[in-house]
Amino acid sequence: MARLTRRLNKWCRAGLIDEQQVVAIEKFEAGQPSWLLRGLLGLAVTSIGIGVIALVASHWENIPDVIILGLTFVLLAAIALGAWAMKMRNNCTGAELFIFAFLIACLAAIGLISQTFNLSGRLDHALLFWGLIVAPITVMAQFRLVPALWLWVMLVVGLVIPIVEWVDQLGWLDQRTVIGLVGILPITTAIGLVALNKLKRFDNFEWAFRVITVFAWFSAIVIFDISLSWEAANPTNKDELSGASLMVSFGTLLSLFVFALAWFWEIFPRARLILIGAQLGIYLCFLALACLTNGVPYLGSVFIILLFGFCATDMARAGRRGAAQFLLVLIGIRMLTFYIDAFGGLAITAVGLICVGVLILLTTLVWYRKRHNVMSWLEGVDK
Amino acid sequence: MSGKYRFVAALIFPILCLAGFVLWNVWVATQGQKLTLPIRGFDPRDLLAGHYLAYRIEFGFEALCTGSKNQHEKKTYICFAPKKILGARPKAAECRKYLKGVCKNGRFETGLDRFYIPQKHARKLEQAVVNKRGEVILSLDGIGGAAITDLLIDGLSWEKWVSVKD
Repeated sequence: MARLTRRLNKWCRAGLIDEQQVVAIEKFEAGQPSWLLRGLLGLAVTSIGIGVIALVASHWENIPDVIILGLTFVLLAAIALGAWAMKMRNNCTGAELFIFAFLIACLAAIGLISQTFNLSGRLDHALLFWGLIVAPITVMAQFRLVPALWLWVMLVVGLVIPIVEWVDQLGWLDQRTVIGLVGILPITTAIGLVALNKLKRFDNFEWAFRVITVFAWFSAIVIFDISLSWEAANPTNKDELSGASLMVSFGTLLSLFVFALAWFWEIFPRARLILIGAQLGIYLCFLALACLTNGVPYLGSVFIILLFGFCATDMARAGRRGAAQFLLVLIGIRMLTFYIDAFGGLAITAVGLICVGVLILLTTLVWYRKRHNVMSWLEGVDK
Repeated sequence: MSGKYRFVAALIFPILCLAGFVLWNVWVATQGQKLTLPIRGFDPRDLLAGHYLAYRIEFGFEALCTGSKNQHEKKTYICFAPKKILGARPKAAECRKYLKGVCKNGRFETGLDRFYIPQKHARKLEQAVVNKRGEVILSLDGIGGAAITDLLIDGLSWEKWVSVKD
């Protein structure tokens, strides 16, 4: 709030807005639910929820099963009533907290029922069951936390674990297959992202898909880079590539599918889709090299520079300058590590660093002189 | 359906599912065919995992999950009357008292290898199971599943056995 006030005062002094507008904006923002308050309340509910689960786990032998189960259902009904009452009063924060508590109570109830009837199911199966029964109420949550947590848990227990088990059953689970599996994750989540973008509903789920896709994309790139560099120094047995080949083929098919969806549904303008297609192509080559080869020295850095370069261009075109600058910084850092890695010794590293410095300086000068032309092209704005 | 009713339905749905889950387990535990089988601890150093006792049921089939074909997961059915091992679900006329499981790494896994106990009695019960004095009562649901209804030590329900011992 203080930061906003400082900015508003700055804009007011510059004559962009008047004092009345400053007061109106401040009043509007003060009426918005506080993220800090929501966070603290969420923390409190989480703590209470974990406490309930711990109490359940402590196994009250002196209380008959019927009473324990009955109390559990009374608790569930009470929390559900609380959520409904808050919803009727249009108290979004209250309703959201009750929904969150309800989800935790449902999970605790599954644990309690398993304990009462001595069910030996696995945790991921219990979470999958929980995810299915609470899916309708999760869709109705208004804030991002509940849908995001639900979606991320479901992706792990409903997608990652079954795929790993399936590959394991085939006897193909090895280091290379795992790299491939990590590589296809962002492509898989991108399908969900594109589908939700088309539906233009479930904004919270779309946000959750975007976050997990970006996170998985960065994680995969880091793993590919490490794999290419590490395997070049420590080559592993290349004989068994069944799992890795399957992952690369599957990744390629999924990429084609998601790109076709985005193209036919016209999710983005054509120019942006071409840039995204180029990124997908580079990403798939990177994935294939990381999975199927024993590493190629320095190739990881080339791929990262190419991939992040295209991505920064894409971000700039989409008007997300912050993201574009962040990616450029990452490219700079990777270039530095590349020089240090390539030249090895201190004296030669110093020469490499000077070269990088000069290169960055010259690029910046050229950029500064031509920035209007470049930005006009990138952002699609007339000069 | 208006938003208000959808919200109420979304809250009631999980409660109904959980109630159904409880009722199904109650039905299996009370109505199923009962079967008492001996158990043994497969890791005598530590049978306890949190608040439950982990064990293996001795089904009494010598050729169960043996051979190289059973190294990967394979669905298997064991019929208790008449005693036989089947690769597919038996028909009603063929066998009424059967249990479904998976042969994995030479073991028949049914998901019935856990019994929740209070922590204060854990050591005594663990010792009794290690000494091969334990049995479990299974209640078969008739479609290959089962529920564990009790843990017996020396033929007594564990609660009675603990109170006698104390």
